[in-house]
Amino acid sequence: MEVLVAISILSILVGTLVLITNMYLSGAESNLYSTQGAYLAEEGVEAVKSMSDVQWSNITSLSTSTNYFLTFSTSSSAWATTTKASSVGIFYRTFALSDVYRDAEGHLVTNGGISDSQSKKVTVSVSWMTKTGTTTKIISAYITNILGD
Amino acid sequence: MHTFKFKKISFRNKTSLENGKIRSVGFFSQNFSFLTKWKTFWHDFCSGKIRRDFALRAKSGFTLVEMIIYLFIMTIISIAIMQSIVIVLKSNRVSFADANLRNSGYSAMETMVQQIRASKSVDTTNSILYPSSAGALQLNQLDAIGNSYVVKFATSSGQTLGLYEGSTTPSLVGPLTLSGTKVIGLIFNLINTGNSEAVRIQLNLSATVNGVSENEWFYDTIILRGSYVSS
Repeated sequence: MEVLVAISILSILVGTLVLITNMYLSGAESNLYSTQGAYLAEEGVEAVKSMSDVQWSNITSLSTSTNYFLTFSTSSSAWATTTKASSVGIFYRTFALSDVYRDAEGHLVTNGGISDSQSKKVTVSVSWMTKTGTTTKIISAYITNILGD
Repeated sequence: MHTFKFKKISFRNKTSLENGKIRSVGFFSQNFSFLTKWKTFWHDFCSGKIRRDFALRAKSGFTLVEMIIYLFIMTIISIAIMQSIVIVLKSNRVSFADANLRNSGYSAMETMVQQIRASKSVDTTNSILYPSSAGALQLNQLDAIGNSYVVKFATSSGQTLGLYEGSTTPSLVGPLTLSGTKVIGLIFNLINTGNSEAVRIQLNLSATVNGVSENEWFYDTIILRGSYVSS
């Protein structure tokens, strides 16, 4: 009887240990995914910038009400956009463009102002599934037609 | 009053025939108030009667059926404990492997990102670009006083990503990945926009901790900020 009680207590302790370890494991895993997701988001912004460096019209021809996906062509070694859903491993990356408005002094404003056709705001979203649901990392950047083409 | 015996404490009411009447003598007997039962129990407890009763029962041993049931339950619990321990150990190894991957990936990617961003061009002659999965990237930079400076990233034979620097011929500065992490694949794509240069990095790392391996990819694209000036 005493042995049974001892083993029961031990099993409760071990069970608790398993739970704590699993939480620790989830933490290490989520850190890894966050790091990978952050670089993918950064890549999204840089890819859009590289497309604008080729020709600013590559950006202005895109709709501001559509979420786009990025594809890399190894043959032409260039980034391109697509509306066809694609994922990078477990990560689902999209980007959206929005118009930029400036006041009379050229400062960025969120309300009012005049639309600046030489600037766009890029918002890249990277999502991935975790045990507790979907995690999304969003970064934004402003790009301008620095080459004036 | 003291006819109440501890050994009769039971969650089932027992009955006895006394003077031709059925009298309940169990723990939930109506003949005893709660206070009386508690006093009796406390008396027995203080006098060591309860301990003696348990000792007496213990001396009486177990039946074969009891032993079989105990052993069966013990076996089930022991198996559960052993499996839990195995899960704990494996989880720890996976955690350490993930942490190694994350640390190596962060260190390697962050250094490459910063160096590529600070460069003015890619030395395609001394770089190993796509489609090689054992890539090397040599970058042309300018140092603080405007002299040429070369930074190179390449995988050594030990599958460690190394950082090389020098004014003309780069020499090894140190590893960018942990010793428990191996570079399985490193692919560099050079992107030429016509107005700037960019490099796409694909880094595949593997970390092994006591037989448990984890394998992950890291991706990034960085425009060489110095490449705008030269265009």
